[in-house]
Amino acid sequence: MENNIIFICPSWEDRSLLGFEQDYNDVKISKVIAIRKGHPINELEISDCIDKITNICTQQAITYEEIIWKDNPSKNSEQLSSCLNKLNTNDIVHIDITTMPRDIIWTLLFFLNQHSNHVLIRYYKPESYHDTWLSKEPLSPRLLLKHSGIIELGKPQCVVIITGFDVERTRQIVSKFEPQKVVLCIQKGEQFNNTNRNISSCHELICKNVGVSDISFVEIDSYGADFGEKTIDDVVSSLSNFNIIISSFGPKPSAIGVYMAYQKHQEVALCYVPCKEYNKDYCKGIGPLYTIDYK
Amino acid sequence: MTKNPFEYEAANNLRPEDIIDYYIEDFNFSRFIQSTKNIFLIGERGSGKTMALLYNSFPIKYAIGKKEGRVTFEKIGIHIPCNTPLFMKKEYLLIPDDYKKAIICEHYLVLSILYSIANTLNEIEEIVNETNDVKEKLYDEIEYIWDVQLDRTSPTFYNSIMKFVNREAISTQRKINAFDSDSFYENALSFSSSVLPFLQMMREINLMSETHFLLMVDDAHDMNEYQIKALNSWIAYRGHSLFSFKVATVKVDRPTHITSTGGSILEGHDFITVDMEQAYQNEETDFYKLSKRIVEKRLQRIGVSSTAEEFFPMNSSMKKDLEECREEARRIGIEKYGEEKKHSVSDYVYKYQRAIYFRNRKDKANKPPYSGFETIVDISTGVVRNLLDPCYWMYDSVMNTEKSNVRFITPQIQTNIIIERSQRMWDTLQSGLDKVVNNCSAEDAKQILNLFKKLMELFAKRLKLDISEPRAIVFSISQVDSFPEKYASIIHLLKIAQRAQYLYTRMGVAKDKGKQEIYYVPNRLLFPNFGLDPHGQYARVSLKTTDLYNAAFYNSPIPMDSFDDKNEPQQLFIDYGE
Repeated sequence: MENNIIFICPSWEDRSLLGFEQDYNDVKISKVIAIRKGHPINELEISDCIDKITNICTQQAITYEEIIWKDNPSKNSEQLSSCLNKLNTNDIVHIDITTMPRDIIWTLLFFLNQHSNHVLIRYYKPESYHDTWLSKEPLSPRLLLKHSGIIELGKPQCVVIITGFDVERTRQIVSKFEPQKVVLCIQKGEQFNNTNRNISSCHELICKNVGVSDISFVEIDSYGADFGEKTIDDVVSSLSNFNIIISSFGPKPSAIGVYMAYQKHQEVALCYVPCKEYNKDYCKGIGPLYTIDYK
Repeated sequence: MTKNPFEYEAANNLRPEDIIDYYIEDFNFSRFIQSTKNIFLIGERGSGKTMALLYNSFPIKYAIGKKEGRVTFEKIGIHIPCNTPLFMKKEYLLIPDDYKKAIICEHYLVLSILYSIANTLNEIEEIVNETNDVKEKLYDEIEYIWDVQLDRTSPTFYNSIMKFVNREAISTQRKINAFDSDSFYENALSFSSSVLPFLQMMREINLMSETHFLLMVDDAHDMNEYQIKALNSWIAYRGHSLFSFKVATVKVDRPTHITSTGGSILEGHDFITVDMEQAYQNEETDFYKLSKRIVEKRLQRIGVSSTAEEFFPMNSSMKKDLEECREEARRIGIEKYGEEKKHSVSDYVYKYQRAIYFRNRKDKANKPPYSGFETIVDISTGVVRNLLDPCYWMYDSVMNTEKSNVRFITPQIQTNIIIERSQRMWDTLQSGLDKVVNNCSAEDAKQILNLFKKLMELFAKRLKLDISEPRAIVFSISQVDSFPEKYASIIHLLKIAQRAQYLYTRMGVAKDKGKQEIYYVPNRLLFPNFGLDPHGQYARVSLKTTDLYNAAFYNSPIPMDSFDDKNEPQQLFIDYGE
C-alpha cells in the first residue's frame, strides 16, 4: 500500500502551520517527518508551531517523527539515511519546502534520489514580506556537501545567482569566489514589489564593486511550472568553459529548479549562505500553493 | 566616450598586459617576494597582495625582461590561487579518520600547486622548446616516480602534466561526491612524492638548472586547517635552494603557524612577515608616491598627461585658508619658541596648521570642502583599492556630463563624492554590520557603532583643543594586562571592524622599552562625515581598555584624559615600518 509521507520544516512563519493544515487537507498523510534545527532561530515560536502540528497528528492518527538537524553533516546524513531506510520506495514523498532552508532541501533531495520513486514538492507563497530587513548575521558562503561540483583546474569561475531582495547575499558570494563572470537570474513579475526590491542594477553594481566586469542578466520565473529549471539549465549549458557555482537567493521554488538542473549538470557546485538571524516578521499570511512533480 | 580609468577589476581578472600596465612596482615588496626566503604577505582585501604576486609571477617577469632585454631564469614565480572552489570543498569532514582527512586535503593543495607550476612553465616558449628536446627522458622519469601513464601525445610536456593533474582532480571529486562513497581517495598525491621530485626534475632542463622556484600561495586564509598545517610543514622544510613559499593572507584571522606534526614555524627563523598595508603621512611617504604613480599611469592610458595633483586639484579657498592658517601657526610658533628655534617652529606649524583650520570653522558651517589629491590619498588609509574607489566615482560623475574627455575633476565633485562615500560608510554602520559581515551579532554591531561614534567624538574634541597632538587619529590600547576580559571583548569588536574594513592595524614602537605594539587606524573615509580632518599626524593616542569598553558597551564618551597613568600622554613618535 502506498503511504503519503510529508517532510516539513516547522517555522515561526504563519505559512508554516497554515500550510501544514492545508497539506493534510489535500493529502491523506500517514507520516510527518519534521526537520528541526538543533539551535533554531526564534525557538519559542517554532516550538509553538510544532506543538500545534503534533496535536493535529495525534488527532488525525498521523505518525509524527523528528530529525534534529545539527551543524554536523555526517550526523545529519546518518539520520536522514536511517529515516529514509524505513520508507518504502513506493511511498509517495511530499516535501513542503515553504520554510525549509535550501541546504536541507538539496540534501533531502540527494537522499530521496536514491530512496524514493515518487517525490512531490509543495510551496506556499506568503501574503507579504517585511519591507525592511529579512535576515542578519550571515555566515560565510558554503558549498553543499557532495554537491561541490567537479572543478577543473585552469578554468575560469562563473557564479550564477538567482537573486533575491537582499543585495548583500549577492555581495557575499561574489566577494567569496571572486569569479571571472557572474550571471544574475532576476525573478520576473511585480509580486511583493519585486521590481523595486530586486533591482538588477543594484546587483550589478555590487558585482562591479567587487571587481567583476563580465556580468550578464537572465530573466527567470521561479513560480513557473518548472520552478525555473529550464532557464537555469540553459544558463549552465551556455557556460561549459567555466567552473560554475550556483546559488539560489530568490523565491524558494528556484531551489528546486536549481536542483533539477543540477541532476543534468553535476559538475556544477551548489552554494548556500546560512544566516544566524531571520526577522520574526519575515513574512505574513499564506498565499497560493505551488506544486511540482520532482520525481 | 573613454572608459573610466579608475575602474576596479579584480587582479585575477586582468590580462598580463594590464597587470604590467597598471602595476606600480614597490621595491619594498618585490625584493622580499623575489628573495629565497619564506614570506608571509599580509594585508586586508584591496591592499594589493594578489597584484604583487601576479606581477612577480614568471610570465609577467619574463615579458618585462624580454622588453628590457634582460631575461633571467634565476627565479621563477608560480602563482597558486587558493580562492577556487577546490579549496572550499568540505567533503573531507565526512571522513572519520583525522589522518585520512589530512591526506585528502593535502591532495587538493598539491594538485593546485602542480597545475600552477606546469601552467606557468608552459607559457614560456623558451622553456617549452628546451623541455621538448628532453621530453622523452622527462616522461620516463616522472612516470616512474609518480607511477602513472601520461599522455605523450599532448602538444607539450607541460600540457600532459596539466592533463594528468586535471584527470586526477576530476577522478577525486567524482569519487568523493558519489552518494555511497566514504569521501576518501586512495591515490592521493603528497607534496614530497609529487611536487618535490617534479621541481628537482625541472632543474635537469638547462635553462632552469639553477632556478629557484617561488611558490606564491595566494589567499591562504581560504585553506582549511589541514592544508594550513601541511603548508606550514613545507615552510619548515630546511632546504631553501630549490623553492621557497610566498604566502598571501589576510591580517584578521590569519592562518596559524602549526605544522602537521604539532610543531610550529617561527617568525624570523622559518619565515618573514611583510605587511602590505602601507602607512601614509604626507607627500614624502612611500604610499603617497605610490598612489601618485598609480593614478598618473592610469591617466596616461586615457591620454591625460596631468599630474595627480592637477587632475584632482584642491578647493582654492581651502588652499588659501590653509595657507593663512600656516602663517598663523608660524606666528604662534615663533612667539612660543623664538625665531631662531627653526625646528621647533616648523614642528609647531606641522602640528597646528590644519588644526587651526578645522578649529576656525564655525560649528554651523558646511563640511570642509574635502578635495585635492592629498585628501584622496588620506582617505584611502594606505589601501590601493580605497584609493581607486572614490576616483572611480568622481570620474563617473563627470563622465556622464562631459561631452569630451575629462581633463580634471572639479573640487566640488571631489567634495560631493567624498562626503557621500563617507555618509554611506556610516549608514552601513548604523544599519548594522551584522547584516553584512560574517560572525557579527546584532549586539556586536551595536557596540561597534557606539565605539566608532565615541572615537569620532574624541577626535573632534582633541582637534579643537590646544593640546600637543590635536590631530592624532590613530590609537593603541593600554591596560591590556590589567583588564584581560574587557580587552578581549574590545579586540573581538575591533576584529569585526577590521574584517569590514572600518579599521586597519599597523605595528609601531611602544613607549615601553622599544617594544612593538599594535596601532589601530580607523578607515579615514569615516572622518569627513563628521567634518574631521582625515589627514592625521605623526602620532597616536593610547586609549585605556576600560574607556574603550565603556564606549562600546555603555555608549559612554571616551574621556579626554584616557591614557595609562604609567605612560606620558599623546606621545609623539611613530614608526609604520618605514
